[in-house]
Amino acid sequence: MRPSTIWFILKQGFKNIKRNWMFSLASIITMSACIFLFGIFYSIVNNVNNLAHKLEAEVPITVFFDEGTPEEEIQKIGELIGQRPEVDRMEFESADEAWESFKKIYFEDEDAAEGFKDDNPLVNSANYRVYMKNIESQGQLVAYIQGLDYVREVRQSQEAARTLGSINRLVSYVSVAVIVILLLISVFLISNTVSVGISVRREEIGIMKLIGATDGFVRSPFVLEGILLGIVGAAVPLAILYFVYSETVSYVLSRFNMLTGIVEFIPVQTIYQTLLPIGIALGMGIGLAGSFLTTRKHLKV
Amino acid sequence: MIDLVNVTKSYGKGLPAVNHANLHVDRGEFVFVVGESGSGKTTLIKLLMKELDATSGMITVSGERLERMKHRRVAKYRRKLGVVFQDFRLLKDRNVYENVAFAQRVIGRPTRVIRKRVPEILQEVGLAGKYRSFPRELSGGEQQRVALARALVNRPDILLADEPTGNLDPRTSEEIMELLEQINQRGTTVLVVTHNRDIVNAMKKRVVTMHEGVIVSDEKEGEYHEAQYDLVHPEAGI
Repeated sequence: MRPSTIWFILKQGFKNIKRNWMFSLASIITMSACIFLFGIFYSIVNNVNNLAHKLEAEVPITVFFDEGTPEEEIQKIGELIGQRPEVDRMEFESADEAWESFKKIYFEDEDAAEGFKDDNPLVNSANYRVYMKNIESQGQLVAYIQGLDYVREVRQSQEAARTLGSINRLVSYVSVAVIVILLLISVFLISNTVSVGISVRREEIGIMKLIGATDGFVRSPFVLEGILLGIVGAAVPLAILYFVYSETVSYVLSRFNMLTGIVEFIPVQTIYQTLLPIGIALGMGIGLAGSFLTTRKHLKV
Repeated sequence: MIDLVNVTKSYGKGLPAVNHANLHVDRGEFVFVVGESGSGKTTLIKLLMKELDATSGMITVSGERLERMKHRRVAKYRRKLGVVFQDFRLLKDRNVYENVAFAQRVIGRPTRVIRKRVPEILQEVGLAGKYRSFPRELSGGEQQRVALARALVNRPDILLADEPTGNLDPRTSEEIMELLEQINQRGTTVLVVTHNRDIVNAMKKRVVTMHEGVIVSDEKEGEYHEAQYDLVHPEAGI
């Protein structure tokens, strides 16, 4: 296609939007609402995920062994656990190390612990601390470890895992449902806007066809109109959400400063590295789908 | 250039709009198709433009068999035709220049070609000074000239005119017909559908008469008579 033809089609597309600006505005607003909600859910899901991962990294499973388990057995078990796909990394703590750290925490006065010097009360406390890649697979891993010989006890923080996992799932389901509904509404509204445009320009379309315009040429301004509406409908809410997100994060952190250090929000730039292309693509996709379906239906050339 | 062999077009029940029509038009001919309202003239034009498909029969235009033509090909085919209508069908929100340029845009001509070609054709149809006027500022005759310029700007092989003088006074009608004749003399095949008896009779061209879908006469240098045709339907076998 020649540049002058593309330019002509582009101008037609803009003209369409201007001509029925009320409908165009309505589709942009719905689309904006859709993408705005999508952005919010996307940010929430990502932040909850982020938090879950942080907890996963911080809350390990601790594996203790039977009394008198030989060191080589402990090592073997360590290797077995290390091979599991759920495991991210693991640390070994010998009985002596366990006693050292216990002393540090509970005996501020080092001398008081001296009495146990040669008789480590935590002699059977050699343990592995296993950190997982994904907290939701904790149950599975724990069951496996419990099945191994010489394993006396597996300590876990299943509550945290379950709660975070289910919150995340709930948020994802709700957001998918809301987004799907809004997507359908947006496609419908874009389609409506485009079909109004088509009916306004019916005469012109008829003339174009008689003159020998190809289907593609007749359709492209309308499809372009849909895509343009989609892009604007995505850009506006994404810009608003950028500020809303940054402001919310700084407000929450300043208002509830006890959260600092515990809850860490993903920086807005990081979120937008993926949200921006996804949002724009979503907008364009909705615009394309709405206008393409409509022109196919109404422009039987 | 145009060949119709036993062409019938029916819209559901009742008499066909075009009934077993046979017509041959050579390159460079000027043909009037006449008949009262409902005689099937407009259907004939629509068949030639492939706006409608024939129910049966064979239509060949410019070497292309219309009944076999794929949908994708139709746009390219129509570029070989120029069409004008009784109601001009101009784009009201665009000026004369843009209306004519539109026909070139639609087929993807580059801007430099359009800038050269549009003034040329406007000059030919006698609208050299009216580039910037909008259709509402023009008389009926002038609007039909714009429509003609638009139909001719892509240099079609055939010009189809459906009642081109239907909305014009006799004087203007004559001017338009003169223009059509000039176009024909430059080599374009012209087919004019009309029921304007005065014009047909004055021009002494080939006249094809239709009545209730049937071609009832085809005369060289013919006339348009107010004849009563006893309908002899071909399918009746008479």
